[in-house]
Amino acid sequence: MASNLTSQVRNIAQVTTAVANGDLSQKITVDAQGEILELKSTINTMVDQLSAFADEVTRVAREVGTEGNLGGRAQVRGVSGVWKDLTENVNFMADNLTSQVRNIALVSTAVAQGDLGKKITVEAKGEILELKSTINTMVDQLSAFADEVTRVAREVGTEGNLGGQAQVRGVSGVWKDLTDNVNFMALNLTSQVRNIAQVTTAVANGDLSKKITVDARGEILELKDTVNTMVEQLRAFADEVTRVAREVGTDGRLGGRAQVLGVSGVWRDLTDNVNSMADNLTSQVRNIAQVATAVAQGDLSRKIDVDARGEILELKTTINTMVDTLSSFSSEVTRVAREVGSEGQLGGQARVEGVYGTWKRLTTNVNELALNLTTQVRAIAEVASAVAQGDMSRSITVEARGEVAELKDNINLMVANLRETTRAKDWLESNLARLAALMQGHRDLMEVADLILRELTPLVNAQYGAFYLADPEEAGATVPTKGLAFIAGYGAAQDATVETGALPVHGLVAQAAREKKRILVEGAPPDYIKINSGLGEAAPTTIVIIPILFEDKLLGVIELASFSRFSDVHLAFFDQFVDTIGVAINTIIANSRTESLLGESQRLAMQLQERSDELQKQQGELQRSNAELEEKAALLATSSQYKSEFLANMSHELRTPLNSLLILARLLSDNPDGHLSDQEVQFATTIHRSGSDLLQLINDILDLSKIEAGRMDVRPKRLPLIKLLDYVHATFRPLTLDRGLAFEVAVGEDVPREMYSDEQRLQQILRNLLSNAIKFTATGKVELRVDRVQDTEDGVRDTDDVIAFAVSDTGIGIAPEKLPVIFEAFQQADGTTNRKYGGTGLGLSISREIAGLLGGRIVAESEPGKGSKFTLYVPVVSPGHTVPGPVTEDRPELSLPLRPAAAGPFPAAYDTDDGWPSPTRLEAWTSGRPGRILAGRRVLIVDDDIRNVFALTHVLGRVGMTVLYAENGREGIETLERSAEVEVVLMDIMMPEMDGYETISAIRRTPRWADLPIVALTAKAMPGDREKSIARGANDYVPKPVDIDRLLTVVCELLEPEDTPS
Amino acid sequence: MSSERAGILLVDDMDDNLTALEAVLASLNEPLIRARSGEEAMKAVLRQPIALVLLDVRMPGMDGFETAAHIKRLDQTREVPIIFLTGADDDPAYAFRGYATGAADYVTKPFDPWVLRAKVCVFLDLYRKGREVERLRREIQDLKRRAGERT
Repeated sequence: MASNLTSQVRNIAQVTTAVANGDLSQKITVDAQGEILELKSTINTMVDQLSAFADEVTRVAREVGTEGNLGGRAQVRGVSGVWKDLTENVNFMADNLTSQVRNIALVSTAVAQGDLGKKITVEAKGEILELKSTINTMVDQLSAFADEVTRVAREVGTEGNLGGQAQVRGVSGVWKDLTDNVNFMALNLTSQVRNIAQVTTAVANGDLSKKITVDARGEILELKDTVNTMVEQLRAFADEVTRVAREVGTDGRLGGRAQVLGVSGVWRDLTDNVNSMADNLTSQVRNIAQVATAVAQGDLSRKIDVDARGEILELKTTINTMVDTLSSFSSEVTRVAREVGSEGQLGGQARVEGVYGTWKRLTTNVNELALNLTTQVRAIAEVASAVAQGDMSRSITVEARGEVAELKDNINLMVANLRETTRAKDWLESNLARLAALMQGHRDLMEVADLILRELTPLVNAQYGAFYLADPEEAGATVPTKGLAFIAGYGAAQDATVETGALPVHGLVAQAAREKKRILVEGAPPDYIKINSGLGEAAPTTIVIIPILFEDKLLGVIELASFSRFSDVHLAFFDQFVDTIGVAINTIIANSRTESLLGESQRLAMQLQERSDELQKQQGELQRSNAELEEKAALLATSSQYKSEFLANMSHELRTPLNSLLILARLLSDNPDGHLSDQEVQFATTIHRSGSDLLQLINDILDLSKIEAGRMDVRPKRLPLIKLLDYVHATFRPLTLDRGLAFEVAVGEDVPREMYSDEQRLQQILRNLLSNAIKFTATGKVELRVDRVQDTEDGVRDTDDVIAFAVSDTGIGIAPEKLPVIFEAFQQADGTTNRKYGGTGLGLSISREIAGLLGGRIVAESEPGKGSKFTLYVPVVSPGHTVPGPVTEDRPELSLPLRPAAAGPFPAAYDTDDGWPSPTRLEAWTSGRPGRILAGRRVLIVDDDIRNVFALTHVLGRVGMTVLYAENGREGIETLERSAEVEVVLMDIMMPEMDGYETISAIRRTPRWADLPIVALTAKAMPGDREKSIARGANDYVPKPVDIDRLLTVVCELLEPEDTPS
Repeated sequence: MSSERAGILLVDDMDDNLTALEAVLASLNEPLIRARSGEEAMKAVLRQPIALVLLDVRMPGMDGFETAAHIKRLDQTREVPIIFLTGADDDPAYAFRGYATGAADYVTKPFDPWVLRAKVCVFLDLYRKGREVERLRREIQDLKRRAGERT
């Protein structure tokens, strides 16, 4: 029992302690009976109920208090008493809390969702009540705040009434700050917007001076900057446009442009438009001004060519038409003035269309003037032509005034005078002819004199005439020494004559005779002569005394008297007729003299005849033999001359084939590549040697023939002897060494240092002599001795001062009878010499001839088997040549002829550019726009005339272009294909094979050259050529001879046409 | 003018002489161009770069002097050296006339092939050196220009 109790009590104590400690999990588990069992179940039930209660309360507390699920209630069954009260209290608290919190939550949620109309209405006490009133107040304040802020926001933000401020009372903390901030923001915005509105309004009203000054930040600041910048730009823009408008539009200073920086969009477009308008106006006005100025200065060639539209276009058309009209007017009027006034082509009239007012009047006046002049001049011309052709019947009838009328009258008068004169002249001529004919054939002087008086006296209306004949004088006397005899008279009494006989003539007749001039006496005194007839007598009024002369010799005198005056025609007739009379009389006198002489001469003639017959026979024989001789001589001369000339001219032809032969043979024989065998080298050497021999032979023959034809010139000049000797030494020492011969050159002491002779010829002779010496000497020596000698033999002409060049050798020598022969052409001492020793046999004969030309000679001495000595004697100074200045050793050597001053066969070097065409000013094409366009361009010239191409190439190179060349169309196309970009082609038209047109067509067919600029050039220059060239595909056409300026202009235009923007 | 190799121009109216010249100069391995007249020679100098001209004096039509004068007058070809080939019978004053026209040298026919070849080599050398000088000059100009741009 104790242990039972103990365990039971311990268990109960355990559980009870646990419960007291809050652990409701323990239950009494001990076995119990009876009351203990009741206690156990009571305690266990209690623990269960407490547990349930605690669970419930805990659940409600957790749900409502912790998890926030309001509305929970504790449900505890089986509890009573305190525990039931507890449960109800808990539930009541939970319910209270729930409704309060829910109400608060309701209002808070409403506020949170923006509904400020709800208020907490739930009953509350204590802190909850405070919370309720706080929340309600807060809701009121929020509501007021929201209303205010909404109002301000609506007023300022939506309705645009700036300046509103929120008034909220009783807020503090964040709400106050919020209110202040809203007000501040509204204020800011207000002032900013108002400022912006101010400035914008000002701008809208045209006042660009205002700027936004209000403080701003962020986007407003950006807006402020933007608006201010915009205002500035607008101002600048307005200033600029105003400036341009004023300058161009008002001040008339063209060329202004608006410069506005930093604008874009519409403003930029506006600026550009203003500028383009200003530019347009500027260029148009300038162009118009240019043309107007030109017209004012008389240049009618300019036209307005600027682009224009609208009224400006009308103005342009009007002005151009006006210029055209003026131009045509002036050219027409000029033409008429020139034709009619200067060139004398009458009848021209000016035809001008479309002129009115003053111009039309001017034209009409000019035409009237021209017409008037034409009519008058033609009328005058008609008459003048008629007169010129002998028709004097016309007179000028045209209307005229002023000077022209005077001219017309003068001309008519002149024509009338001419008519008269002609009539008189005709009369004079016909009578002269008639009388001259009458006098023919008479042989008796008296008969002729009578005839003359009979005809002459009535012809000139004279009534009295006398003919005096002079007695024949001594030959040569011009003054009559004997008297004049009266031999015929007309109406004259025999006794009214002048004394004759031995007395010399006197009186007027004598005077006339002495003076040999006609004497005219007008108004003779009444008793001078009496002219009478059967019915009466009277004194003549006019007397004329005419001497008859022949070759200044007086033959006779005619005297005539008349009642009336002798007219000028009559006097002129006298003067002319008297000549005829003189001739006739002289003839008659001469004839009679001749007759007597004739008889005498006939007698002598017969004697002569016999003698001359003999002589003629002899002469005939002589002539025959002469003719034969001449023929022979001519034939001889021509044939030898022909031969020499032929050879001299053919020298070049003869030597030419040998040139290539010798060179090639030499190349082969030198065998540089070693490809030939020894034998082949031998062959080549032989060919070369034969060729050389042949050349030598030709040279010798030509030399000889030249000498024979007299064509070998000797050109002496200063020749230092040492030069000659050096030459000899250099040429022959090696040869003598080769052949193992000794070679000596010795010079005498008194030999002058210099000669005046032909170096080449001397060398030739010495060469000949020395090579002969070497050739014919197998062993021993060859020597050249130079001495000065006085050559008194007649071999050397003109001078005693002579140099002797003696070439001696120890060779085979020459037989004495052969000595003269060796100098003959083609002769050698032995006919076989040629075979053994070589040589042409011409050398010595040439040397002899040349020595002669130099004024010297060659002498040969020899001893067969011992040796030979050939001496050349040559004068120190070549004869016939004067030495310029003293021949001393100090003069410098002149080995080349001085620059020939005379024309001679040496023209000056071609060193001027004058032959080739050049542009008028090269600088015009190497600078500025043309210089830029042309520099470095590649041009192809296709032309077979190379001289023309050279001229063009030169000039095109000077302006900086690169020139390619092709000779014909085919080559041209090839060149285009294989060359780097050719930019322009100059194509000649007249070419063989493929002419220019064909080539152009071929080029155009190739797609990549379809637009290649081509300029056609041709020398034909016929009308229509240009059109034809362009029709065939050329871009333009320039005629030859090429005008460089025109060509370059065309090329520039093709490479960069004018309206391409630069 | 293109950038091809410069050649030697042989001018003579006789084909045989041209053959001989070619034979002498073939071993130099330079391009040899033939011309049978003054006009042909003028066309040849325009077509390609020429280092040296061997020019016969005596030709029918345009003679050697006239041809040389034309070449010397043209800007693009005036620097080309010319060697005249004269016949032995020609006037010695031809030499002077040749120099006056601007020829660089003259040789009498028939010439020694080795002498001619040596002369031709000298002139070819001269030509090459001239081209080199020209190239260097252009380089220097270029450098000068670029240096000027940089400063």
